[in-house]
Amino acid sequence: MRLKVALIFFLVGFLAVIIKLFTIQVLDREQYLITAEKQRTSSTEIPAERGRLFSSGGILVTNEESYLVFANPQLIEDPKVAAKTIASILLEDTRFFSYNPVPKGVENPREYLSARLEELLEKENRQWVALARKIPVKLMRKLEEQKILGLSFDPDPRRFYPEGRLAAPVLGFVASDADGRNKGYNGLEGYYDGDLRGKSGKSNREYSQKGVPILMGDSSLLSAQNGADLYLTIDRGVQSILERKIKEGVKRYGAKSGSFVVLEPWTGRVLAMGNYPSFDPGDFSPFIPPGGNTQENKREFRNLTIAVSYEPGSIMKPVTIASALDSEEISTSWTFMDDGPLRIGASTINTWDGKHWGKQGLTQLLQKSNNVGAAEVALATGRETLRSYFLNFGFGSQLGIDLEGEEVGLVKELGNWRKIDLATAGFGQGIAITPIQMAAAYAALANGGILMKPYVVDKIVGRNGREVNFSPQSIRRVISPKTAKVVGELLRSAVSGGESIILRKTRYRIGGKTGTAQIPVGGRYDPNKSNVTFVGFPFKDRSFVMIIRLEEPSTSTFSATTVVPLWVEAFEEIAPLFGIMPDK
Amino acid sequence: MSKKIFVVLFFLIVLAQVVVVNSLIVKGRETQELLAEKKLLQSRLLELENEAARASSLESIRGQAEKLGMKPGKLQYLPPVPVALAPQQ
Repeated sequence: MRLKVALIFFLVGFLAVIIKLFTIQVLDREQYLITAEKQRTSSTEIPAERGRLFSSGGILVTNEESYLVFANPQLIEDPKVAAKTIASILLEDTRFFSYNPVPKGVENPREYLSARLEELLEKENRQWVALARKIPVKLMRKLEEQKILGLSFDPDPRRFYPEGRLAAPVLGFVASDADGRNKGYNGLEGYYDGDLRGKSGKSNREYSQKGVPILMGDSSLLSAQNGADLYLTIDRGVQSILERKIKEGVKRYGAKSGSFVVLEPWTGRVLAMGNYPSFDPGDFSPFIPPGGNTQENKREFRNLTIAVSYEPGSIMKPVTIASALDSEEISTSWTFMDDGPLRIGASTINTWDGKHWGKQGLTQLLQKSNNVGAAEVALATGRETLRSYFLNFGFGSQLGIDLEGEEVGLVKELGNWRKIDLATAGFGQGIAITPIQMAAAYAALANGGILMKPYVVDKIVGRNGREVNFSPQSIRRVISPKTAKVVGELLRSAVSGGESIILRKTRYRIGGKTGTAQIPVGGRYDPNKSNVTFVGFPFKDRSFVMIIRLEEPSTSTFSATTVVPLWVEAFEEIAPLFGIMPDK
Repeated sequence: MSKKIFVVLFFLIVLAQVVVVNSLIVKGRETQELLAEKKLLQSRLLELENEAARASSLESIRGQAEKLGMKPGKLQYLPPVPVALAPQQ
């Protein structure tokens, strides 16, 4: 009897074991296979290298090794001590808060970081917490040396700028999107984000219990597809000179800001573009730098040559004249009688200095920058014609430059063009333009009448060697070659016979025009605030058109004593780079 | 006799297995070390590339030139003189 009981007991036992084995090996097979796979294989994301940016003279943007710092709070022995140690090392990175922003309203980011790290490391119910992004390799090694159990690192490359701030408004910057992934903002980084970012890869490999890779084990590799490189039209030498000059100019004339564009008129290639104040593309944290928000420390993240529009003032006069001549509403022998202010309804249009010169032609109009004359030309042209020429010159719409953040400016609807609006538009009031639009319009005057699409990227080269080349694109013919020739000559005489001594004294033959535009404040033009601009080109070679604008200079409100000397200095420095010799 | 051969063969097989497994482990470790070295060299290469880029930047060249005592100069153009009118030696 006892033997039978023992036998039954063993049989039941064996049956239970068999059922359990059946459950594990047959019924729950898939689940256990997955668990085993997870235990012995490790999957690693291989981040794609973001594409680099090259100027004509060298590399502007590349990548540097940096790491994501993460931890397993269950393995951290003393969260408070660990947090303090980690925070002190992380804060050695001057760019830390750019990649690891703190919530708005935090007054002391350093203290916040320490407290936040401690809070994260105390989360014992979690096995993975991200502590910091894009920590440079040197600091990662320093953290490794601390031998903090539970602290690990994953590659998370970040941008590196060998030329520092050079061309920052053109480049834009790279930060994180809502999902924590790299994303380009503004400029080229924003516009070409899809080409630059590439596709990350994945590596799966079998490891032993001690973490050693098993040689005969299964492995699979999906390589990362690195982002494409951009080769820019930007000339490093010209860009560098202009950045230095604009900074000098803003300081010398006490301006709020300064901006410049150098454009190749025949092609639309942008050779230099920028503004001051600007920003460091490697440090875009919203915190005010040590020393306060001074002029030196002020950061401007926009590209002021494409993203900000303003009333251009007298630099519009040659465009008005070109429109009138091309539409044959006036001829080259056209004259007007400047015998006093022009009255239109309740409004009065006067010359900038209140002087009047009697019978005047187009040459004198530009040389004296006569508002009355420009208003007369506009009135002779008519609102429909003038407006349509303005639109054709590219005002009031995007030119389609390959940069993120292009503004359209303002050309009023036809119904809003009263007689006074037409007259003032003739000398650049009641219309808003961006510096790039005006540079493109002058490029059309310089190249024989064709509006070219400005562009910054010459070619995109994939890491597989595939190239996409961009060639110059004409948007439309705006004026005839004959009109362009006449206006070009008028621009030359505006410089050589104009009122600026500095322009007359230069040893180069230049075509160009000054613009002083008072700034409207509370419905009236403030006589103490102005935007001053000069746009011009070397008359013979026409190898570039350069526009420089200063916003609200405080030493003088006139362009002749502010932006003109700055423009001439910049011109004389960059002319040799184009092989342009003094020609007068 | 055949029993002895069987025992010897059995031990040889066991030994061979130990040797193979051991060598696989060693090779695995070597692979891991080589991968780590490759990573380190790649990292160093990137660092050197970036250093080279920084050293050839205009800012760096300007700094070096200033250290060497160079100063920005103003270009002076000499008007071209026709060969026929050049002063005779």
